[in-house]
Amino acid sequence: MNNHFQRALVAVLVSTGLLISTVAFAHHQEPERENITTLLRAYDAFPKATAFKSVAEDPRTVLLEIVADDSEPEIIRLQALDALSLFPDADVRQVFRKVVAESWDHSQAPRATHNAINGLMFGWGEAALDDVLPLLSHPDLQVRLTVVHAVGKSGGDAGRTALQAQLNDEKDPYVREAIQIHAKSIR
Amino acid sequence: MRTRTLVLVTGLVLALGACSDDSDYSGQVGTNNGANNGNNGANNGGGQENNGANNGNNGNNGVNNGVNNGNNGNNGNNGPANNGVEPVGLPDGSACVGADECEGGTCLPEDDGYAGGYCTHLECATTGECSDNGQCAFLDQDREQSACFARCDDASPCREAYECRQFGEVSFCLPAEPEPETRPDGAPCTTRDQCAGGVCFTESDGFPEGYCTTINCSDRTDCTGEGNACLQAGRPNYCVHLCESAAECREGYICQPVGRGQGYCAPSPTAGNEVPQPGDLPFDIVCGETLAERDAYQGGLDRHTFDFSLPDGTTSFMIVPYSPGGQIYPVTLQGPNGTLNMFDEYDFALANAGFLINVTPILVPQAPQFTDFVTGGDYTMTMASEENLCFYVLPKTEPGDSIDLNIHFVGVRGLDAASAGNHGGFQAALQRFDEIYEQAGINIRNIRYMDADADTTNRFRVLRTQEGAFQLVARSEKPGEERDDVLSINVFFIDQFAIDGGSVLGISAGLPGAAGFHGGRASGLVFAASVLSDPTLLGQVLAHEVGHYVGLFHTTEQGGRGTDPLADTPECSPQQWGDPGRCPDIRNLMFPFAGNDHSTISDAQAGVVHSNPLVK
Repeated sequence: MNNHFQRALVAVLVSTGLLISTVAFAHHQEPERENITTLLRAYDAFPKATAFKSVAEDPRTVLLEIVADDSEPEIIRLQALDALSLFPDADVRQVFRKVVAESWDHSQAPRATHNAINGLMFGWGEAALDDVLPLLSHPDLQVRLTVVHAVGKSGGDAGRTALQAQLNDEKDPYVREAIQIHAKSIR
Repeated sequence: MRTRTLVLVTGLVLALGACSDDSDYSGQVGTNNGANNGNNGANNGGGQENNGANNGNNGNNGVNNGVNNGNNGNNGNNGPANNGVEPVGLPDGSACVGADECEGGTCLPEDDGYAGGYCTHLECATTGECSDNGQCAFLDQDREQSACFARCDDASPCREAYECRQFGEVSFCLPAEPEPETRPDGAPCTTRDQCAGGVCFTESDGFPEGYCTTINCSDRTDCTGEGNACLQAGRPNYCVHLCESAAECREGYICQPVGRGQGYCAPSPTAGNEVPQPGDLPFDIVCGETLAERDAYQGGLDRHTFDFSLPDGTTSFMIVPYSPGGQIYPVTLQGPNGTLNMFDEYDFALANAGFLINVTPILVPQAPQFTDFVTGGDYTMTMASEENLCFYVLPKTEPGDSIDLNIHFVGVRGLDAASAGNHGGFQAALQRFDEIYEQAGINIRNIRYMDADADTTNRFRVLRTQEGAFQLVARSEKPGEERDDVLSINVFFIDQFAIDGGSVLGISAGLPGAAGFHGGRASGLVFAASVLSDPTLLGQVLAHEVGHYVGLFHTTEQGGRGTDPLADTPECSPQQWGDPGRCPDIRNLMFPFAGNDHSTISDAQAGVVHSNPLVK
């Protein structure tokens, strides 16, 4: 066998090997995404982090893909945002921050805004206050209500203090009422 | 004269801006004394000096005036005896029983807080109309009512139960302020005087039987009583009674968590809920003290036992026991063919008690193995409850083939009652719902579309808690007076769920919900327009949640932790849950995860659905 043929044969074998490994990898990914998508379709009880981990090696990566996939139905992408808060890291936080930033372009914020607010506070607690508290000035009443609820629940004493201070500026009776309900602590 | 206000125990407000200023008093008094002296004699009608003296010190006006002034006068000898008619009756401020005893013609009664009665002149315009010892003052902020009150000073003290209270430059004999009671924060109350903290949140404020508190507290050192702390609630802060469980709170209160394992006694969300009374619904409701035999049970609840009858030919029924507030749950149901034990073979009937709290609809049979339990005859229901109960029973004698929906639009973007009939996506979802239930021989018959009011929309178009779903469906109202009207399902279509930690696709307020009961926690189901971009999926969600509402459980719970009580639905074991796509029950309508082809209804499931009175 001359060297030229040997090199060609090696090239074929290598490329075939690569093809086989690529196909195997894709097959590994497809069931994970399918299972993750199944979990995101929970009717009336959102799955725990352990459920996502039981169906995928890296649920966070799959969820990020789903959020970025415009072909997915809105509800699935919203649920994926919720699920990302179960796996907080810098990339996830950046996704939430981007959603929050984009909400200012709309007087009625996109639905994802609420998921991002919840995700930031649920995933990072007090550390996310700087991301979320500015939304207390958002023109959308529902956004401000979500902020009050999320900060009241996960924002600790600092968050509640900030909410109570907001009573100086907030005029809407629903938000004011929400602050008085959710911004409670005991001393 | 400066104006001050005083809240008396009688609720009268003494506004001592009084009837006019001092200078006017002088002139008017002079005039009035002249007039009075028309009754009292020429002496007082005399010179200005006397009138001036009259204004100053209640006296020095002569023997008769001194007599007329009673104890308040400095009875000088300024003039000849009074030639006028003697004033009849006791002067202002005197003790009395009846009006005829009083110079002024009015005796303020004890019931109004005037111990021993209090003579006065009502509707005085000036002090000159009062007894010589009296001064005219307004009783209310609006200055619409006035009366004469006895002046006082060190030399002229007040009688027992009265105190000399100063208002600006004058002092009056007024009922003594009651000693404040020492009820601590969190205790019941009707008025603030009962509370050591000085504030009473009343029933009208949403606090059952009232709630003593201290407002504007900074921390627990500002609060009164043991076990209390300062709730930082914004405007204002107020003191609350701490707790670890509801057992430590009064009836009508729950232990509301505030983090760090702490809680405080707060009004129950079900407290004050309106519940149907006899006559409210087109079927018999039975309520009241004599409804049931009652004895102590457990967990602070009493056992209530009551009877009802079902007609011959009954094939299924729903019984709906409820209370105005407070926890209830079923214990046993005894009939001609045996007894169902809610803590044993019929334990799935307890599912409602945990989240519906004060209403627990029970569907029989909720699984085919209990079909033989149902027959015409006499039944006895035993419930556990804090309070007295009401109940109604809805028997069925035939399966039915239709349901009616009341769809409430709660701030959905681009969809409302007016546009729903022509909205392609929404109608496609309803079409999908019909296709699914056609398997069980059931179709939607009537649909009512309605828009939620502005308050409901603002509060609930984005639902942030599961509890919010129960509060939302409690805003439903019966859509009509006929039996056919009230046996309909309330469906609330909101814009989205935004529940931290993970949202849901829909919530059914009851498993089953309370057929015929509108305006309560078990009065409907909720799903969201965030699914509207996939109408087939939306129809699936609606069908699944209606399935819960009419009595269907998940075929298998997430993780394989539990299954429904039906023998013909597949189950997914815990081991299989690692790949839920391969669960044998994934194609069933009641699998816990949605999918466009998750729509199968088994025969047993169809039987449960047909048992429900909502299927007509």
